[in-house]
Amino acid sequence: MSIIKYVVIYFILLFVETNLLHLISIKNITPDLILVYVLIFSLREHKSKAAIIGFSAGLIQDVFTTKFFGLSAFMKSIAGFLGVFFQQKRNEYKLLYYSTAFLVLIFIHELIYQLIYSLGGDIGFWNLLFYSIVPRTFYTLAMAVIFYFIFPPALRRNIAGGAKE
Amino acid sequence: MKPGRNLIFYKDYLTLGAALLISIILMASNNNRQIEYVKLWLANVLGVFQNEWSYVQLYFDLKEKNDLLRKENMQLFLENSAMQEMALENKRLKELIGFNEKGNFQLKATRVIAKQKKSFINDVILEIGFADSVSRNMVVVVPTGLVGKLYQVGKSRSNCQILLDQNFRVSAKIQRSREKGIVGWKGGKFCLLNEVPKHSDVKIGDWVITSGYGEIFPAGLRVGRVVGVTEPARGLFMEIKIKPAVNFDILEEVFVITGIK
Repeated sequence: MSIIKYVVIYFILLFVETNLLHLISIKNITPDLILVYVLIFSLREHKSKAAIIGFSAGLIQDVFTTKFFGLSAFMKSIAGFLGVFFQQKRNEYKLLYYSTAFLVLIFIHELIYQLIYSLGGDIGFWNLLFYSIVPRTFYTLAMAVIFYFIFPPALRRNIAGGAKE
Repeated sequence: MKPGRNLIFYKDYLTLGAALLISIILMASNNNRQIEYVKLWLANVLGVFQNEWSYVQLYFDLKEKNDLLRKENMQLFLENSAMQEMALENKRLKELIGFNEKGNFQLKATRVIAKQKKSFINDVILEIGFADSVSRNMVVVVPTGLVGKLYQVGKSRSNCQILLDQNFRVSAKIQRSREKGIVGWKGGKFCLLNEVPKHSDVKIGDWVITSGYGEIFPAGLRVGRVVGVTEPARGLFMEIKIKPAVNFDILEEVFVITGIK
């Protein structure tokens, strides 16, 4: 996939996330489409490239959406880098493995993101976990599964024999 | 770098590190609740470390301060000792000046520079000599009484034979009753007033003064106070014990009588 395609897909997702996502929000919980984008690329790319994509995607997301500038860039860099560790040598990912990997990665992302975001606030950890982190994790995971079915070629690795070096 | 790991392995981590660092810098540029909280937390943590560090610094500073204070303390102690010494000397000199002005003698003040106790003579060395117009047999006194006499006179040093010497003799009398005798010393802290006939009027506490009958000692100098009076069964004389008027242990400044006014 060329860089132009990456960029075009990214901005489509960003547009949806910033303008249309409220249409599908459930009790103010919305999925993180940019995270799904970053994680899909992390299953295809080298660590450094995944980190750079994560950082860039997060930074642009920060510019357009965030209330805490730099936090998305920070978290997406980590998510992209960690996603590489879930790469497989096989050219296609089984749904179960894919879902499990995304569940873990999204949960880690959301956990850290929400904890940082709630710093200095009066919301307790368990409330945060059950009313924000877990619902958002599953909602984002659901979006990732939809991607899995809609765009299976996107998950074909860009690296011969996997990128786990 | 471990064998088998090339630069690309570290490049990935360096890339992530750079991305995270930039993100953190961007986050720190925010002025929101979260950053304020982190700043506050960091300030608290740093405060704890600074506090602990200040103790460490304080320890090293304390050692230095302690050394300095000890040095200062020693210096002050020495200064204090010197000042006390000067104050005492001042007091003594004032007494000497008063003595000099009140008396009928011409006096020359001098200082005791050494004390010696030989088998045949007890003396002190004075910082005065014939260059100061003193000569042999001149009498040495302090405001409290008789010290002795010069028996060897050099150019700038003299030997003074003191009262507490076996060969020292001075004609004396009881000030109150005018009973006469000869003062001598046979060892110990006390002198004896000899050759006072039995049944003479001598009491404990009487002052013994020089009689002025000899050629050397002028009359009226205090020799000591009577501290013991006994009349032995045998013999013609009383045994009278005298405590010298001068404390020879602390003798420092003295006068030499050079003449009568």
